[in-house]
Amino acid sequence: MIVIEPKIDGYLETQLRENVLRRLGYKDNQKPDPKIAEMLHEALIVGKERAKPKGLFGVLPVQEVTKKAVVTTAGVVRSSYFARLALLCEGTKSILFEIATVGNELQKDCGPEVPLYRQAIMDAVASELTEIIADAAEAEWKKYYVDKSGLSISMRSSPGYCDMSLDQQNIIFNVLSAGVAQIGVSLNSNFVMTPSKSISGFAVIANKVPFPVPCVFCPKNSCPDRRLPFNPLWDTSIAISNAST
Amino acid sequence: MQDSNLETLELSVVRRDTDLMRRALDNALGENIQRSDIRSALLRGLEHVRHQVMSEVPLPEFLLCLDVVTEGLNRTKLSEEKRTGKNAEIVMVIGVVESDPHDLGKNMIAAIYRSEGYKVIDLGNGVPNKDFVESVITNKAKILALSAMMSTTMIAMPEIIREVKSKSPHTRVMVGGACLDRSLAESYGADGYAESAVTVLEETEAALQGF
Repeated sequence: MIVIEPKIDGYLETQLRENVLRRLGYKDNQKPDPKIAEMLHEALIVGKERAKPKGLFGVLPVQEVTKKAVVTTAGVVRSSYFARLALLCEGTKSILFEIATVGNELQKDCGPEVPLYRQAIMDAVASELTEIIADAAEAEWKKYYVDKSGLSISMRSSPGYCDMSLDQQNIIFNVLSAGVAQIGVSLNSNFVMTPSKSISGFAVIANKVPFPVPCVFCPKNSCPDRRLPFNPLWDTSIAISNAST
Repeated sequence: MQDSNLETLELSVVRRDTDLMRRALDNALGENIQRSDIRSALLRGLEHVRHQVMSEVPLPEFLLCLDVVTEGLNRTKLSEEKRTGKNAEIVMVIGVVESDPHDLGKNMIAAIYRSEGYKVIDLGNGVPNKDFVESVITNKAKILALSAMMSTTMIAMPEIIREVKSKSPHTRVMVGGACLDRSLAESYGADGYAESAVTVLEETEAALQGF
């Protein structure tokens, strides 16, 4: 298990501003109202100052994969999309468990006493910062633990998204229980994390990962988070590979 | 002049221009334009923007418009006066269900209801089931608006709705939140489902039909 504290550099700042504008509904090249632009500028500075980025990572070997679940020594990850991605990975497989957070300082200015446009901007900055920090921490972790070994890794799948129910948070917190206090993240009985601007997830590590996300198995065309087109042929290839083994 | 001032008021909301709103409002009051007409002009501007939100107006810009309207109504005490109008005496209780900390969407919806003259009692986020029921009964609320943003917290809704309906059968319950859709809302026993700020007022009015 390892804790990583990523730095927010100039590149991440530019990426953050673009992502926040997109999250708030601005289209490419659409300029915000000057008042919003000023508020956003201020929110980005405040966000960067207050963020206490931390990522926590742990890896366990895969014991078994079915079309519905991935079995590890710490528990079973239930998601048919995630499991089917793991099935198609080649070589020795393991699962990365991760939690990343920006801390709880960013939400000081998000209360109901603050004008709504400010709440919306601060919330979007905090949410995007969390995503960017999780990506940055993961990239740093990969440099030492995946890239050097020549292995491949999928992108993270998070509880509460796709067909992975939120109760899967329990497995992540069980595996990383020794480190959660160090990064200051806790989980309540409804599987809600505190600070709320935190991210958790699983990723598959293997000799060869055929594609980064399991979107190819999901027919929900209207999904705003889709990163790859649905391709039912991949399910056929799983059936063939199962039949031949 | 009267029409011109009202048009300017409407325009000030669309342009998110607080200074323009203040000038137009002072002129309108100076000319003794009826407060109900002033209110209508402000809300026409908001309506215009509200229906653009999904297509071309990003969320923060809409919220700036809402700020202009709220200040306009507050400056002339219209926010109090208009309760003698269409939404007179409509008390509503709003909140986010237990263990759910996400209250930005609820805050926006509460502001929209307030701008329309509803008397809004905001219970905040992470509200225990019994607090919703107690508040509805104590305040004789005609509407209860419930928000939940997570699949694990929205399951509190059917129980709250059952309790409220058993103790205050005439209260109409509106629900909204990221994981909900209309069929789920109906299965929970809600009287209305609001997908977003764009549709919440129409959906509420529909739920109140026959109240």
